[in-house]
Amino acid sequence: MSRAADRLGQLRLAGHTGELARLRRAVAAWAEASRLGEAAARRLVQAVDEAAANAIEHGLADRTRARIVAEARRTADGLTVSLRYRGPRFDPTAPPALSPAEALRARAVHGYGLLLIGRLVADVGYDYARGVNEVRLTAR
Amino acid sequence: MDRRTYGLRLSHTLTKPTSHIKLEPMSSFSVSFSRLGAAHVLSLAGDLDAHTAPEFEAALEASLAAGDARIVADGAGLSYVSSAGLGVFMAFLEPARARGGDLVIAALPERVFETFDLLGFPEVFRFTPTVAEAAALFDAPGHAEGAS
Repeated sequence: MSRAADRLGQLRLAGHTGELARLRRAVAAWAEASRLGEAAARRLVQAVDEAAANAIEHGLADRTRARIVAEARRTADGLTVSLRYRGPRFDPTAPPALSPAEALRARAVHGYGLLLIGRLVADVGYDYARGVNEVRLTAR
Repeated sequence: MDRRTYGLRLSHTLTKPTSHIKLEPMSSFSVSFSRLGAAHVLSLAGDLDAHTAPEFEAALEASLAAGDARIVADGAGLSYVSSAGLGVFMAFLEPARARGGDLVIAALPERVFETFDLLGFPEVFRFTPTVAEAAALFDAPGHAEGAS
């Protein structure tokens, strides 16, 4: 199957949090089209939302003009949603500063997004090249 | 349960917009207030995400500012909570307890509770199946604070 045939869809988002609901709806539709199970679909939707929120709030080079490109591809054993955006390197696969237990003890207000992403999907991939972050989230 | 809404109602569906809440036409989140016994009940509806979390934060700030520290977050109407929402809950837990109250989370749909559970929030927050059970915690004489 060609890469083009594997692609389920693409969405371009402006760099503000008001776009997140639209992204969640798109990922849910892609998950349904790929016949992902209900629980796996729900977790993928949340993982993508968390990654996009991190990009918007911490990673975009210029929030006023920035765009995030979300793209869904059906893989041999699941569904991968990638997010690409220009900005400083922001690696969601890097070890979090705090474990969940440490975050709870510290009553941390931030940092739960990265902790969630790794628990929600089967694989998290990341590449950074020529100023562009690419985060890949795979559900099975 | 006294469902009379008083004070602020934070939602884009407001007929009388408040001065300090930015109203977003695409927002799908709302907070309404009511009282049940000694409890101040915040009924949440819609998606609590990075975009709408400031509305919830404003509601909790307003509650504490009004002297209402015995807070029940009624999550029956919540369809989604992201880490931004979790952070708001966490930000107001200790301030509520420090004022002799608590922030109890009630009636969450299972799919929403899963997000709290994944990170261990039940270790530090009280969760109850119903709003009535959450409110009853505050009616007990010398109600115990905190879950652990």
